[in-house]
Amino acid sequence: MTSPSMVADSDIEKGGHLSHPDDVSTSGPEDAAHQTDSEQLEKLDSEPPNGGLLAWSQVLGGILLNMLAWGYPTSFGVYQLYYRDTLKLPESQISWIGSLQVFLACAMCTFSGRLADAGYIKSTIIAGSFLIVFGTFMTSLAKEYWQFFLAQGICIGLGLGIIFMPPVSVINSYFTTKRSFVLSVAATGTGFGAVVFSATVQYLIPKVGFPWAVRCAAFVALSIATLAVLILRPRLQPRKSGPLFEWEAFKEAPYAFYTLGAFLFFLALYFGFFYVSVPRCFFVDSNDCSH
Amino acid sequence: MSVPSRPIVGFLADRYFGPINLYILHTLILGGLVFAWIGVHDRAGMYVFAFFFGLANGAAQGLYSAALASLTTDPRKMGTRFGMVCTIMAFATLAGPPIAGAIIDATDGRYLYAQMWAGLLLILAACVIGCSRVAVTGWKFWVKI
Repeated sequence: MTSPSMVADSDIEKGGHLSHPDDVSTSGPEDAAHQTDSEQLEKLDSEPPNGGLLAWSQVLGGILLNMLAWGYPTSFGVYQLYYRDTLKLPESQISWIGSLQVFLACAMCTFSGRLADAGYIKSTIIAGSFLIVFGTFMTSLAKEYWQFFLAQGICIGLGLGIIFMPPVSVINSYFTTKRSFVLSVAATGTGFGAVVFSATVQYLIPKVGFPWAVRCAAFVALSIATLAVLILRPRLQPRKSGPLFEWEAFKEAPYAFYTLGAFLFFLALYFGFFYVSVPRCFFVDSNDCSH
Repeated sequence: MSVPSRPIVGFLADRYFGPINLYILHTLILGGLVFAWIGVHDRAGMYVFAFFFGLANGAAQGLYSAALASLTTDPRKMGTRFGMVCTIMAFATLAGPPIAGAIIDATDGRYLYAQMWAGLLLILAACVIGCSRVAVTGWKFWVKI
């Protein structure tokens, strides 16, 4: 292996930004400044820091957004009990709210993922957080089934799907060597979020009533989202052009197999989630847990 | 249980085994656990089962994004590629519980066949992700990926 070919290969891998040193000599001072800026960006593009305060603070941002994106929907079990016992809504209808929320949270990821790649990190998170907080406030005002369905199922579900992708994309760009570790550390946010949001609603409903308990959850969500927006710093140059769906990815055998495998995995897994979940065993004192 | 298990498994994936290998392993473990669930008949057993299920599930879900990251060479396509997997997965989360419910209803409220269905699906999922690994590495057993 000769070194020049390796250099060229790695340049192309890093997005194909080949620098043109000739441009600097012929352009004016402003252009030169611009050039050094983009060269610096290129340098940043090519070397993930794999550590340091900035990189680890991105992981913290990821934990916060995971608390919202996956922890918040977990608290639906508490809402479910309230809807069933106090509002006397039929259980089969109630579970549609939760299912739709999770469905939309996953389904929106193609759009939010593409937006994240295009560099719209903060604006995407702000839009998603707005939907979550707004939907939660609307849930606190709801009285009828269709109002809960719209506010909690659709509005919050859309918001959750929009905020999940940007932090994954940002964290991934800061690390190469510790990637599995940092992504799984960020995923612990799910557990923290599940505890925080379930506890907030569960303990506050008897004290301040359902509307204010839900509004408190909205304020918790708002503060988590605000912190995350302040923390996250995109590192890569945005990829503005390119289609929404990367159909070519399915022509790569590893990606296609992985997608099919993940589909089968989640098809089976949510059976376990719904019938095994420990919170259900703790909150509902019945024979749900054994059969 | 997912909070402690995720970083530990993530660390092991980076240092020793590779995220895809561990993801396959944990999917197999989850499949095995669902079959073990058939033998659980009382409340104490259910807590023990839920403990291990939560542990393996947390680990698998933490690895899920890391495994895909290791299949994506251009980090600027990470969002799009991961997002597409999630969108396809969304239909699985929507279809899974009603299918399980229909199986339970069709077999007079017994969980047995639904459990067998879920267990077999998880083992099949592990095999398919195994194919993904073979497509990258070829037929080699000790490769960190």
